Order: sequence, then C-alpha cells, then structure tokens
Amino acid sequence: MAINRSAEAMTIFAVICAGLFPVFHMGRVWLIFFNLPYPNTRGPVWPNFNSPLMWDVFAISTYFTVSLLFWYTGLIPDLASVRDRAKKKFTKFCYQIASFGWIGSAKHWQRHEALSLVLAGISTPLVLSVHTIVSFDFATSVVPGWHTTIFPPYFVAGAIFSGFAMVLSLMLIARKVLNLQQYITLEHIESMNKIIVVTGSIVGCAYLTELFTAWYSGSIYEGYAFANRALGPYWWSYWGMMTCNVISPQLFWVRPLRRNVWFTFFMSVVINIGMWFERFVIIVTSIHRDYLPSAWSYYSPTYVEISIFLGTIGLFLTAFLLFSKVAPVIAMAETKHILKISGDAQKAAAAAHHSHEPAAASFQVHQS
Amino acid sequence: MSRKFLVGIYNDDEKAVSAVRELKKNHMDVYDVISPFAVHGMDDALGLAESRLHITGFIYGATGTAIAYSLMTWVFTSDWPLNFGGKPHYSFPAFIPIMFEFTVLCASIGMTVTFLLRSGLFPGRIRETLDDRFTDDKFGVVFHLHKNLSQQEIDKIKQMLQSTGAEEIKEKELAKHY
Amino acid sequence: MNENFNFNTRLKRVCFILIAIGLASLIGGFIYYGENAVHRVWANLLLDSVFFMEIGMGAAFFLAAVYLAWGGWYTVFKRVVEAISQWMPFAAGILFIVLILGNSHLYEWTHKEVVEHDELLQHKSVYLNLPFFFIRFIFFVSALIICTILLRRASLKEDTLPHGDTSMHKRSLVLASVFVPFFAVYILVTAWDWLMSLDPHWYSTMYGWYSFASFWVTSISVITLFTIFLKKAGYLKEVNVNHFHNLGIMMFAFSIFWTYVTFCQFMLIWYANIPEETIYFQHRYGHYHFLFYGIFIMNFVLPFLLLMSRDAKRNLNRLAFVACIIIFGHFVDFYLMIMPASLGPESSPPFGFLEIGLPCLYAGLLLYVVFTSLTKAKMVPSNHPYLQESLHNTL
Repeated sequence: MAINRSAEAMTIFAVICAGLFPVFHMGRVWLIFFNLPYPNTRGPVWPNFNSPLMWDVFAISTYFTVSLLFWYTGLIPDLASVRDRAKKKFTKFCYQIASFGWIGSAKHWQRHEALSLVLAGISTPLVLSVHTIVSFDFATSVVPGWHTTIFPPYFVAGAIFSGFAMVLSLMLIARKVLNLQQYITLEHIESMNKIIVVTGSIVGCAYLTELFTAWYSGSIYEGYAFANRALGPYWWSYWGMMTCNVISPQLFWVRPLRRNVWFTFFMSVVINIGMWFERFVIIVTSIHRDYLPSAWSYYSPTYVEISIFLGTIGLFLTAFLLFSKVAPVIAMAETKHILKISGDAQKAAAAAHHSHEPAAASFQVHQS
Repeated sequence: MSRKFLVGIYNDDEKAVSAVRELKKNHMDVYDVISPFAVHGMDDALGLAESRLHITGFIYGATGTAIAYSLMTWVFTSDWPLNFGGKPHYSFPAFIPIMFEFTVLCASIGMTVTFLLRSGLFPGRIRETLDDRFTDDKFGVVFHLHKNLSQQEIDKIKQMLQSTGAEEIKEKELAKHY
Repeated sequence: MNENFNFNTRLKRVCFILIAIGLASLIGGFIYYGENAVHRVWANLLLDSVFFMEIGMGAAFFLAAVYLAWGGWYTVFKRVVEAISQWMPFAAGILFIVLILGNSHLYEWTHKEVVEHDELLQHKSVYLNLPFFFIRFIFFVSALIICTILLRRASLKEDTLPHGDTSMHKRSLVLASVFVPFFAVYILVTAWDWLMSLDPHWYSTMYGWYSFASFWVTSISVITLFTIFLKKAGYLKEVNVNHFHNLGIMMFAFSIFWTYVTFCQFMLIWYANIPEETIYFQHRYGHYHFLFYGIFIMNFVLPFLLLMSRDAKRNLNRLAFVACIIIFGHFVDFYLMIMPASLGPESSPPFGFLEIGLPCLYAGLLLYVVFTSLTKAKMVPSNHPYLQESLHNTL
C-alpha cells in the first residue's frame, strides 16, 4: 500500500524512457505512426502482425495506457483530497481540474473499487506479457544465446527483480526526504528484500539452466556463445552480471542485513547495475559473434548513445521528482482504510504517546 | 435549481455504517454517504446494487479479442498475405500476443471510460462539496431536503443523526444537484 | 476442532479395491505386453510414478512456500496438505524402483551400443550416465524427503507444546528455507533426467519450469479435492467458503501460469523452426494431435471459463469438478511428455486396460497413505500461531 503509488508512477516514467529507444531506432521518427494498423493509402500495407517487434508496439502501448489508467484512477480521490486542502486559489483550480469533480459519494466509491480490482487483476498478466514479449524479440530469432525457451519467465523474474530494486532505491530516498518512515516501515523494506532474494535466485537458476543447456544441447553455436560470454572479450560484463544479480543478493538471507536501510539502498543500486549488465550481456555478446564473421566486432558506445542513456535517466528522475512534488506519493485513501481497520490500536498508542494529527493531515507537508 | 441538503458528520467509518443501518431500519431515505475512502460494508448498509462494471469489462474485452483476431486473420489470409519464415498465412500462435494485448487494452479503456461517464467525472467537472473534511477524515451521511418534507420530519432526521453519534449536523444549499 | 479423522472400513475397502485393480492390470500388462511391448508397461509405470510423486512433492512445496511467505490463511486445512506431502517419500521409493528396474526400457542413452554410434549422446554421457543419474536422484529427493518429514514432525510436536510456544514454528521456517532452494534445483534437474532425457537429443531450457507448472497446479487441485471431500464428510468445520475461494484463485492463476509457460515454449520453438527443436512437437502432433489440443482445453479453457467468476470459486461442487478436470488434464500432459518419446513417434496413443488400471493402483496407494496420515494427528493444528488468522480469513 505504502509503495505501490510511486511504483506505478515509476512504471509509467520508465515506459516513457524505454519507449524512446525503439522510436529512435526506427530511424525516421516522424513516421512512427506507420506502426499503427489503420486503413491507409499505401496499399493499404498493414504492419506485420507476425513480427515480435509489432507485438512489442502493442504490448508497450497497452502497458503504458493501462498503467496510466490504473495510476490515475487511483490518484483521483487523493487529488480531490489535495484540492480540498489547497489554500491558494490557483492551486485549488488546478487540482479541481485534475480531480475530475470527485466528491467521494458511496456509489462512486463502489464503482471505483470494482474498477481498481479489475484493473489490478488485468495488470498482473499484462506485466508478464510485456516482459514476455520483450523476450520474444530475442527468443524468436535463431541467434545463439537469444533463442532459448526459458527467456519469457526469466525476463519476467528479472523485471520483478530489477523493478523492486529500482523502487527501493527511489523510495528509500523519498522516505528519508519526505519523512515517510511511519508509512514505509522496515517491515515493508524487509518483505521487498525477501522478494529480491527469491527473484534473484530464480534469475540465477535461469542463468545456470541456459549455461547447462548450451552444453547439453551439443550445438556448437550455443556452446560457443556461452563460452564466449563467460571467457570472451566481454567476460567482465558476464561476471559483473553474475556477481551483482545472483551472488550478492544472497546476502539478504541474513536478517539484520535485510533490515538495514543503508545496506538495502546499496544493494538496490548494485542490482540495478547488475541488471543493466544482464541486458548488455544478452544483446552485445550474442551479436558481436554471430553467424556472419564479417560482422564480428567489439562494440563500444559512442558519445551519442551514452548521452541518450544519461538523458533517459535524467528524464526519469525529473518526471519522478515532478510527480512527488505535485501528487501524493502514498495512496492516501487506501492507507487511511488500512490504518482504520488494522491500526486502531497503534493509533491509540500513538495518540497517547504524542498527540498525533489524523492520518491525512501529515500528507500536506509537501503540498505547501 | 438550488438543492438543500442535511448532512450528519461522523468521525468514524464504523459509526457511519451503523448509523446508516439504523436510519435505514427506520425507513429514512438516506440520500448518499460521502467518505474519504471506500468504507467496508457501506454498500450493503445503503442497499446499493452490486456494480455491473466488471460485466462491461468482460464484454469490452471479448470485443477486443474478436476485433484483433478477425483483423489479423483477414489481413493475412485475404487482404495482404505475407510470407514470413515460410509459415502458413493463417498462423494462429503468432496472433495470440496481439489478441491478448488488445483484449486487455479494450477492457481497461472501456471500463475506465464507463466508470468516469457513469459517475459523471471528467476533467474540469467542478462539484461543490458539502464539506471539505469529507476528503480528509470525516464521514457524511446526506439527506436531501426536498420541499415535501415537513419541519417535523426534518427534526426527526436531525434527532436520529444525533442519536446515532453524529458529531455535527449541518444544512447546506448547493447551487446544483451534485 | 479436535476431532480425528476416522479411516473407516468403507474407505479402506475403496483403497484396497483400487490397489487390487491396479495390481491386476500391472501383472496383466506384463503378461500381455511382456513379449513384444514391454516398453509400454514401463512407460506407464514411469508416467504414474512421476505424476503421483509430483503431487506429493507439490504439497510439500506448498507447505514450505506458505511458511516462507508467512501465509496464515491455509492453517485450518494445513493437516490435509501435510498428509498429502507424506505420500511423497513412498512415491519416491516406487519411482526409484521403477527407474532401477526399468531404465534400459525407458532411456535410449542407457544402451552402450546406441551411445557408441551417436556423437551427441557421447557428448552428453558425462551427464547422462546411470551412476550420476541415480546420485542426482538420491541427493535431491532424499534432501527434500528429510525436510518434509522434519516439517511434519515439527508440526505434530507443535500440537503438544504449551499454547503460544512458537519454537516449532521457527524450526519449520528454517526447514522451509532449506527446502525451497533444493526444490528449485530439483524441479530443473529431475525434469531433465526423468522426462527430457526420454528424448535424449532434444532440449529446451523451459522444460523444468514447464513440468513444474504442470504438477504444481495438479497438487493444488488435489489439495482442494481432499479438503472438499473432508468438508463434505463432516470434518474440517472451520474451513469455510473463503478458504475454498483462495484455493480456487490458486487453481485459476496457476492454470493460466501453466498455459503461459506451455505456450511460450511451444511458440518459440514453432517460430524459430529449428529442426532439432521442432522434432519434439512433431512427435506430439502426429498421432497425438487431439491430445495436444485437448490439454489446452482441459488445462486452460475450461478452468479459465469455469472459475472466472467469484461465485464459481465459492461453489464447492463447481470447484471439485474443475479440480478433477485439471488433474486429468495434467495427467494427459505428462502422458504427452512420456508416451511419444518412449513408444516412438509412429505409435498411436496407447490406451487400454493398463492405462486405466495402473493409475488406480497409485490413486489407491495415495488415498491409503493420505488417510492414514490424517488419522495420526488432529485435523486442525490447534497450536499453530496463525490459526486465528485462518479462522477469520475473509475474501
């Protein structure tokens, strides 16, 4: 509850950043609409629905749209809450527009709950499908190191793994800066770390499966691709990936480390680096020695590529900071509900300890 | 046309639910309940019919599947057959990812739009609130004071609200029906 | 709450009849097919041993996973899951015997003269050789059996402790965290060994997770079926419709998961169209194509449509019906993994008294072991720390 709102926001911003790369990749950015299947005057020539790249167009745009809808419908009641607390006229006006005239009527809440339930229900398979389809981009090919059937669930596990790490990195900062220690508790962090161990180990199993099967298959191309990954010119990326993704998360088996905020933050950064290495390993090492020896090379990024990469990090952080400036980073309505049903005792204890404001009031800190 | 409302303000959701149950038992016509979050058991207390939103979702989704399937089949078998990897023109396994995505897209857009329309929510919609605290930590049980209500009846409502634990009772006139 | 299960003579009779039918068909199978089709008997033995063992293994994993996730909702029917997990050591023993006696009938790579003329099998013989095959079996399976037995012991001991003593719960947590990593490797290695090496030239990295997805949803369905049976027989009064709703959600979700894994494996091999890989589906498509479609209907379409609504998951008859479909569907799934490989691509799907009778033997044994374990403990673990959570589980 405490984390999902900003996790949803991160999803949306990350999809925007990720979406930029294939768009640039197409070369003629202004012809991007050629991807859409609409009756056109070019034949009509339809996009190739059998191509995994086309599946990706559908997957990413659907993912973006559904995440946006889910996130925004969840935000509406909270924006209304902010609207009613706003002191400046202009601020109030802006939130009035953004909150769609929400007042919290019983029937609206009932429909809102029904909608959230279904959107959450279809978001789960949608997340799986997006990462699955990204993995299809590679796995439907015949390139050694890419064509392997474990890719879909392995990409999903990897996505959950790195997603949790990214959420942890940013939320630990937000927790500190916005003083949300009471809402994002050590228990939340510990649970997330447990999921990181599990998904990290699943990813580790997938790495080993790939390695084993490359040998077991007896296919010289597969065997070479994997030997080349571990011992070839890009050995550093492979071992970087192994260290960051599989070995170091195992430290989270130790309870004190799971509950250490600084260590968690450090590990979350390590895992993000590791997952970047993973994508690098998959993409670069597989095509730098493929079936066409004349295309063999050693890839090193140009300043344009590095700048685009840095630019997306900047875009992501800017968007996230803007979001935390203007919208509640914690799902207030849901949290109030939880506090109400499960936290009465704690509330009483807190009130006895030092007279505390009601749950909602302290959210206004970053509104002023 | 201005509307007059009588609102009993409660500071606890459980109090509000039991108040609504009590009022309903006495055949009082509760107009609405306004709350900062979805109160568990309130639909039941108010006697609201179950939302049919998920049914519309299923219908939108099924429509999406049908559209995606028939468009791709038509394009690849009759409009513009394309040879890819020597596979048959009608390659069902390759249609599945897009069918799935389009189903989800149609279901979620359709449901959200239905939700917004049915609840009268859209950007720029401005509803006058009965009390600003209802988006914070107070719960309002609302009665519509229409013209036929006698002063006696109004007093009875007020008295009931008081006895069920309302911490404040107020009347408010809104310029428009909300 | 403290009643014990009564394994009455009627139930016992059912078990014995099933076992008798099974034994008769097994002996009949050896006599009837022994001359020229003994492969078929061994393939059936492997199919049933693996399928039924994985049901028990799934139940053991269920216990361990829920412990680690701090899940409390299942506590009221925990003893049912435990009882099913107690079947696993017996089934593992049967499977071990079947593999010892039958390996040369089942696995091409055990034949020296075949390996000598096959470059790929020579390459693989470092891994695919009998001593190492059994070392892997013993190592992984015995580790999991020990964890399962110790988990059961801890659970039984918990009943005798003073109320509020969580020492056994903590021990179970440790055991569960040993179980799960072993299990993660177990599902990969044993799927390669027992099933994938039936087609010794073929390989798929997804295979371990695919067979896991299949037996895991079967296990959940078996747990559901047993719980419904006990509930209908008048036991487990504390189990209410919310618990079944949870089980229904799991059956629904993992049916979709199985479909996902199966579709991905199939689609990627179909799309890349590499002969070494497509051969697997080529064999399963020929004479077996109606079963190949059938498993998608039984394991995806029917559970998906029948369990979609909330009311369906709260209706015990509906749930039991779908559980039966799922169990049967996944039996056919395992049948498809084994039969075309063991009997050769030209075979037509074997179906006769052996295929009907032999599962009865295993089902009878499973029922006997599960019911016996149920009598040995209170039906509800009264001292489990999450009991209250489970009693008040709402959904």
